[in-house]
Amino acid sequence: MESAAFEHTVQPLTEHNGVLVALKGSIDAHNAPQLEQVMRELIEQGNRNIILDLSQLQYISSAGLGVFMVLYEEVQEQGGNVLFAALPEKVLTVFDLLGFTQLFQFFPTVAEAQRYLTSEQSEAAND
Amino acid sequence: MIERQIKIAGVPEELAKVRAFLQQTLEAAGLDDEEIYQWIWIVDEGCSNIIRHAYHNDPQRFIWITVRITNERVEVEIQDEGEPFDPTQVPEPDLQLHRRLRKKGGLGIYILRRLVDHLSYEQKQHPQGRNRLILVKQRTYNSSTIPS
Repeated sequence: MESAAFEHTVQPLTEHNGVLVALKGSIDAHNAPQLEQVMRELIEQGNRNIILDLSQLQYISSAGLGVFMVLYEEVQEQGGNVLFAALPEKVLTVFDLLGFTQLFQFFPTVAEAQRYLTSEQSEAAND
Repeated sequence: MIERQIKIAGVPEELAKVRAFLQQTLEAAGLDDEEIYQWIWIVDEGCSNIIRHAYHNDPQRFIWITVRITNERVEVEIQDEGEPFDPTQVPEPDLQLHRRLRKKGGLGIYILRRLVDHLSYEQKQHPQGRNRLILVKQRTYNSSTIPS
C-alpha cells in the first residue's frame, strides 16, 4: 500500500569514506525537501561516497529525483560518488524507459556498488 | 466501464491520498503492478504540477481526479481551477544538461508525457469552468480483463 512518508537509515562505510543510506517508503513533492536535508547533512559531514539502498523504496517522484539532480554533480566535483543500488525491478524498468538510467550509476545490489568503490579506490591508489 | 473519483485539496500532503486511491482502484480492476506503478507516477506528477504552479500550495483550492477503466484502456481526467497550463506545449528537456545545470524541477511534465499513450488539455478560466487534463494509456495484455 502507498505510504505518506519515507524513512531512512544510515550506516557508515568507513573504508569508502562514505555512507550507505537505505531509503524506505515514498518520496514525493511533500517530503522531498526532507530528503534533501538528510543528504545535505551527510555531505556536509564529509562523506564523499554515498550508496543508496533503494530495495525498500516504494515510490519516488520527480521531486525526489530532483534532489539527486542537484547533489550528483556536487558530490562528483568533490571527488565522490552517488550510487543507486538494488532498485526494485518495476521502478528500474520505468527509469530505463525515461532515460534516467543514463544519468546516474545503478547497481543490482549494494555489494556490487561497494565493489565498484573498492575498485575505484585501488585504481586511484595505483595512479 | 468502472469510474471512480476523488477530490483533493491543493497541497502536497494530499498526494499520498491520490496514490492510495489509484493503487486501490487500479488493483481492484486487475491492472498489474507495473501498470499501477506507472499510473501512480503519472497522476502524482500531474497533481504536483497543479499544486505547485497553479495553486501555490493553497488548501482552499481543489483538484478533481476521475479514473475510467475499460478492458482495453485506462483514462484519467484531472480537473483544476487554476491558471491554465498546457503540458502539451512544454518542450522535451535535455536530461544530461538538466543534471549538469543541477536543476531540481521541470521533469514532471516530461515523465507524464513519456508514460501515457495520449494526452489532451482543455483550458477554461474559473469560474466559467475547469481546466481538464485527460491522460490515456492502453492496458497491457495480461491485465486486460475487468473482474466481474
